[in-house]
Amino acid sequence: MIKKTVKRHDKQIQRFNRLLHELKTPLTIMKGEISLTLKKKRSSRAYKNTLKSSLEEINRMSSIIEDIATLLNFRK
Amino acid sequence: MRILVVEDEKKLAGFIKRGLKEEGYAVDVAPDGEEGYYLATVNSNEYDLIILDIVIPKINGMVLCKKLREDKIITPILMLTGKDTVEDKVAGLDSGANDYLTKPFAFEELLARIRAILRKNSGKAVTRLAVGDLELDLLTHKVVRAGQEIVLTTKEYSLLKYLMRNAGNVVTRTMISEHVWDINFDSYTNVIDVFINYLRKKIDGNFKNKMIHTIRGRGYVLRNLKK
Repeated sequence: MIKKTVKRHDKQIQRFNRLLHELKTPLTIMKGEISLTLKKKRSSRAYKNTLKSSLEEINRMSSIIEDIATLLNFRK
Repeated sequence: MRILVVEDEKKLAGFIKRGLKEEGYAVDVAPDGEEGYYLATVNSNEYDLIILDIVIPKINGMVLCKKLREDKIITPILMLTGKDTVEDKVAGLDSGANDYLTKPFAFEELLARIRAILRKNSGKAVTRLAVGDLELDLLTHKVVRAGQEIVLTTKEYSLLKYLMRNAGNVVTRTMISEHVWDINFDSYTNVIDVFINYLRKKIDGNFKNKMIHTIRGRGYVLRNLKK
């Protein structure tokens, strides 16, 4: 019984770590795209594309955070 | 300088490619380990640097790195990953990588690390190339001849850098296309000759002592004939 609980606990921590790790991809994309865009003067289309892309990544991060919240609530 | 980026996340590969191209590097992207292995080995050691993500489909980056080293591919490898524990970094470097950068990284740091790796690989810590009275600053991209600044486009700059790194040696059109242009380059066009002409006008146009020479049937050489 204890073994089973420990195993389940380990699995949850693994999942939690994986989700935290997944947050790094959208962060890397936003950090990279924004700093590259700001490196020199760009066309208004280029700024628009960066903003659009950042919004997509923010949405991706929101859904990962929701998954993390679900996982935490489930553990309560 | 030609760089291979092995990265499955499209947007990440996209901005790395765009940013590196702006800096004058030629960039190819492989979306998984298998294609990365193929491109890195097909013309062995053709790339000047490989940027390799660890978590990629088909062949994991760490395994790929070991495989390349076993196959005697000595191209410097910069690993890119979200894993940031000491153990992960040690494992990455021990698998044969030259450097390790964790996500999320600053683009300027990626560029600085690439410059550092390429410097180390060229055997000497140079930030400036000079042939005769022609000087090229690798950090600011400023090109000066006899004290006069010469404004070059990104492609012209890359081409001149490649010629200056190989000063005194003949470089063939194939060598130029492999190091200055990316894989989508159509070698049947005369683009290289056109760019050599642009460079000639800017570098040699106002000077008696010509530096860029055509070696018929072989290629080009940049050399300083005046002692």
